[in-house]
This record gives sequence, structure tokens and C-alpha cells, in this order.
Amino acid sequence: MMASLQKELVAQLKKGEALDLRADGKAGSGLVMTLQVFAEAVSLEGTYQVQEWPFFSSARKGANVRGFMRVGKGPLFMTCQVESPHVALLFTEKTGEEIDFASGVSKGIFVLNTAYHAIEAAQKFRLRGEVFTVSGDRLGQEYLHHPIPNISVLAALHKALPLVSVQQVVQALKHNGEKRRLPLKAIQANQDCLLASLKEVSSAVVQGEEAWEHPLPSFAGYEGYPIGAQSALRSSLQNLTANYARTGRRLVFQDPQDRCTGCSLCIVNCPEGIIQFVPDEKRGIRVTGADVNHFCKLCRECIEACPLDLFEEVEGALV
Amino acid sequence: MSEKRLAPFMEMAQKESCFRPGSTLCVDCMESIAFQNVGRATDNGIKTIYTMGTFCGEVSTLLWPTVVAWGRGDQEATQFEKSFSIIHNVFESASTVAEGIRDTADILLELGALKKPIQVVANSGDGGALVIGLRSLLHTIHRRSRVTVVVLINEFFANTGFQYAVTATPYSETSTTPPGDFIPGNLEEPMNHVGLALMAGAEFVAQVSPAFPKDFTEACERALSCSETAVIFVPSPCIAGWKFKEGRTIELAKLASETGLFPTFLKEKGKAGSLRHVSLDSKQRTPILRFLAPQRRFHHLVHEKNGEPAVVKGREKEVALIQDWANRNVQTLQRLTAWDVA
Repeated sequence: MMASLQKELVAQLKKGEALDLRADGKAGSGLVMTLQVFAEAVSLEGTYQVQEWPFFSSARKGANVRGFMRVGKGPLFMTCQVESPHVALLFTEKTGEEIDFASGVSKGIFVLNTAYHAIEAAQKFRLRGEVFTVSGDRLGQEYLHHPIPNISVLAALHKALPLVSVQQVVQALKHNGEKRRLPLKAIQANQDCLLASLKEVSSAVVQGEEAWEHPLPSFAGYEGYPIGAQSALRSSLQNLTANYARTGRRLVFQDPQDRCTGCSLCIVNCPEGIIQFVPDEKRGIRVTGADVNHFCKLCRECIEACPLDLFEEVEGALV
Repeated sequence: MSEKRLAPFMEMAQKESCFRPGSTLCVDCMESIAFQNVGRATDNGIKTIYTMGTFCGEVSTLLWPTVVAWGRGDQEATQFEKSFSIIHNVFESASTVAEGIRDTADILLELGALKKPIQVVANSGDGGALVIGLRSLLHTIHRRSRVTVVVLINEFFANTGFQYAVTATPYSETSTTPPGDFIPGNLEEPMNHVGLALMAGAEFVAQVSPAFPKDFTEACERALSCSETAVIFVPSPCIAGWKFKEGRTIELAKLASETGLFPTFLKEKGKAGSLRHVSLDSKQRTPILRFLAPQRRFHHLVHEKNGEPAVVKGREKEVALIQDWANRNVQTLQRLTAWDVA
């Protein structure tokens, strides 16, 4: 049973108007592959033409990245980036907390990778329209032994925008895997993950009295910054890289019995230099914790380095 | 080199690094760890000027307005030693720009415009320093300019998408040497960068990873106190290109030394060098498989099954050849510890 908005969009496509998609996620979350496979499946089907391109430059693993896709019946002349998409995808929840992934969409289709049900997710991210969610991290861990949500989001996207058959998506996925020189086992695991994810997509039509605005980001220029703004930025410590870490996980330091020997291995092995310590008469220094809430990317180096296992990765949100 | 007492390792850990948190480098990036520790070593009461060639460590730490991870901008200008300068330029010019700064600073010091001496550190990647800019690196060393050059080696052009660089391990996968049925990855043997730097006449050459903090600290201190060019090669496992699980960077850096691919090497002109963290007896050395197995760029050669490495059927020959290369590499470096430019 197709919901009304889906019908509306498909009808719009048939009339010849283009359909815009935008995906937000982290580098390493498989965003590019998902859009590539979906674009390939649509072009295999043959009715529509597609444009697909990722949008990032020097982004590194864990940084926020964005990808775009455009589908249309006729030739696609528009080549600018998508500001107000019809379909907005979210690959990692942390990205959604950092930026407004629905910006420019007042009512549309939303595809999210989250453990929440569609209705709860709509409440959390203030969405109006049709919401599709899938627990991609869990499914990725189960089938691909790595919490990567790309295949599950592909399944949810297929449910949200039924332009092609499942077979075509599977075919495109297989071809993409071969192109990326994935081993046969991994290609098969991807396919299994896709078929399993299709069964786990939850969806809801969310309508509400109040309209939630998702305004377009505005750019006011650099006038606000005085000369020497670089210096101010350096000391402002604005770039909170704690959002690079996996959603729902955090680092803790526990040393209730005061076992820290002050060996300093965690301090010199921390890529961010955020291990906090105090001088100690006997040991030289004593580690007291880390600035987890602002800068910890959860690289696990301190966990591996500490000979006494005082650091630990646990479930829990940042404070 | 002066006869200064080397700072104990724990003392070093307490120093303030000019490399602040908030860079956009990958989760678990070795370059980040190296910068933290180089930053601590340069916090020695002398003003430091850094130069950067283009590489991951430049584009991810000097992005404006998102982040400028190289800090100390908040220090008062009167705090000469604590305030801090950085110049970035194109790929090959980290060492040559550093040379220019050194000359200018020396002239200003002589004229009295500059009250205190400075130290110059050039950072660049292996693509920048050893492929595109080998010429400028060797010429800087040849001119005996008093700068410290830090070269981060991750075996390819990671910044532009993991293309082959001259330091790549034999039979590794890079985006320009993809392994297939007929060609098992990169067929070239790596260049002997340590030997080249020594032969060009560097006063101090080290190949050391921050995974061995004591040796890294020692190398940084000795390099900064040199009166001619000092070069530190830093083998940096690259999580995105080598494709391994998070939390294994330090472990892989240690294995790279222990297996003989990047042995820890320190050599000062006129003195006997040392080769550390590698067994000189090839029978007792850590087998190369331990290093290859966790990385997916060697997936066509070795798999990791239940934590144990297993060679892919039909690829025994390639693995044996990598092992052979590692053995020869240790022999070469061992000879270099006793070799001096005439």
C-alpha cells in the first residue's frame, strides 16, 4: 500500500519533473556506495535518467559528508547541489544531531539509520511526511561484522522510493561490489544484509498540526570576524570532533582503586592529546580522565595502550 | 650535538603540545599521534616555525574556518617562545621553505632584529617529500641547512586517494596498483630513503614511530639539537588506506618495526648508529604474516582467521618474497648503522 506522498512523487516523476535526493552521514558510513548502487539500479531499469555525486573534499574518516542524487524522466540539465530535496537520508544519528539533515524540507520522505521506530525518530528529528527507519548499525554488525549502515539504508531507500524491483537493486549491488573488487564472500554478505534489512524497515506517515520549519542555512559572510580571526578560532576550540565517534558509544576512565602508575602511555598515544592528568609526588603524574565530551573520536588507542585496562568503551551518549 | 641530558620520557609527556585537539584527521590516525609528540618535543623554550608541504596532515589541520588545529594563537605575542608560526606551501617545498626561513632568521639574528634563535621544523608526507619532492629534500640535506625535516610515511598518496608511492610495500594494494588474477598488486620494491638521506649528508637520520615513545622522544630531541639537517622518517599506519580495525594503529606500527619493514633506526654522523626493535637474526624475527594479516590491503595474500594469519592458496610465493625483502631491508639498514659519508 503506497502512501499518498510517495504516489505524488512518482506521479510527478512520470510527468517529467525531476526528483532530488540528499544524503548526510559520516565519511566511512558507506554513503557513496548506497547512492551509487541506487543510481545504478534506476538506470538499469531504464525509464529514468540519474545524476549521482558525493560532495566532500578533504573530509576524513568520521567527518560529516554529503551526497546528492537526481532522478528524472528527460535529460537532466540542472547540475547544482540539492538545497531542498524531496527525499532526505541520514546515515548516522550523530550527524543529525550536529546539523539539520532535513534543512529545506518542510514535508517529504525521510530515510534514517536509527534504532528508533519511525514515529519516535520523527519526534526526535522534528519531521513531517513519510519516515522510514532501519537499524543499520545492528544489521551491519550482524551480517558484515562491522557497524556500517550502507546496505540497510539502501533497503530503506528502496522501500521509500519504489522505482525499481528488488532484483534490480540486488543486481546493481553485486555489480558495484565487483567493481570495488570485494571478495565474493563480502558480496554475498551484502546481498543477505539487503534482503534481511528489507524486512526490518519501519515506516510511518507523520502528520501534525504544527509545522516544523527546517530553514535553509544562511551565510552572512565573514564580516563578523575581526582581523586575526584565525587566532581567535584556534583558541575557541570550536571544532568538537567528539561527533566523529560511533553513535551511542563513549569512552570512560575508571580508576576507583587509584591503580594508575603514571606510565604516560595513554598520554603519548592519544591522537587528540586530551588525556587529563595531575602531578603526583610518588608516580610523577596520575591520569584523571579524558575530555571525552568535546574531542574524543573513540579511536580506542588508550584502551589498547593502558597496561591496566583503566579505559573502556561503553554504551552511552555524550553529556 | 650538545651534551645535553635527554629529557626523561615522563617529563616529555607532561609538556604542552602545540597540536591541539579538533583536527579533521581520521579517527585513529598515526599522523595525529606524531604531531602531538613532535609538538611536545618542540615545547623546549625555543620559538618554533613549522613549514608544511601538502599532505593529509596539512589539509586536515589547517582548514578554515572550520578548524585550525595547530594552536597557540591565544598566546600573547610577548611570549615569544610559546607563540607559534606556520607556513604551508605545495607538496615538495616543505624542506626548501624551511631552509629559506632558517637563512632569514639567521640574518635577522645577526642584524639584531631577532633577539633569540628559532628552530625550524618541516613536515611533509612521503608522497610530498620522497616522490614529488625528493629533489628538494636531498638538496636541503646537501646544503647542510639547519632544519629538522619530519617525513610521515604511509606508503602512498593518502590525501588524493591512495595512489602508489615509492615507499609502498611489495605486493600491496594501492588504487593505481590494484591486485588481480595476473598481477598481485604493487610489483616495485621500496626505495631506500634512509640510505639516500644518509648519503646526501644528513647529520642525523632516524626512522622511528611514536609507537616507541622513548625512541621517538630521543630522536626528536637529538634532531632539534643538530647543527645541520636532521631527518626523521615516521612510519605512519593509515587506517583508511591500510584498512584495519580501529585501535590497532600502534600495534601495527610496532609490528612494522619488529618484522623488519620499517625497523627503528637512529644514526648520527660520525657515530655508530643503532637498529632497534627488530631481531637481527632472521629466524627470531617476527614473521611478516603478523603484520600483513590485519590489513585489508593485503587481503589478496593473507587473511586473518580467529586472530591467526592464514596465507591465501597460491600466494605463498608473494608472501615469501615480501619476507625476503624485509630480511634484506634489515641487512641494508644494519650495514648503514656503520656507514658514514666521507
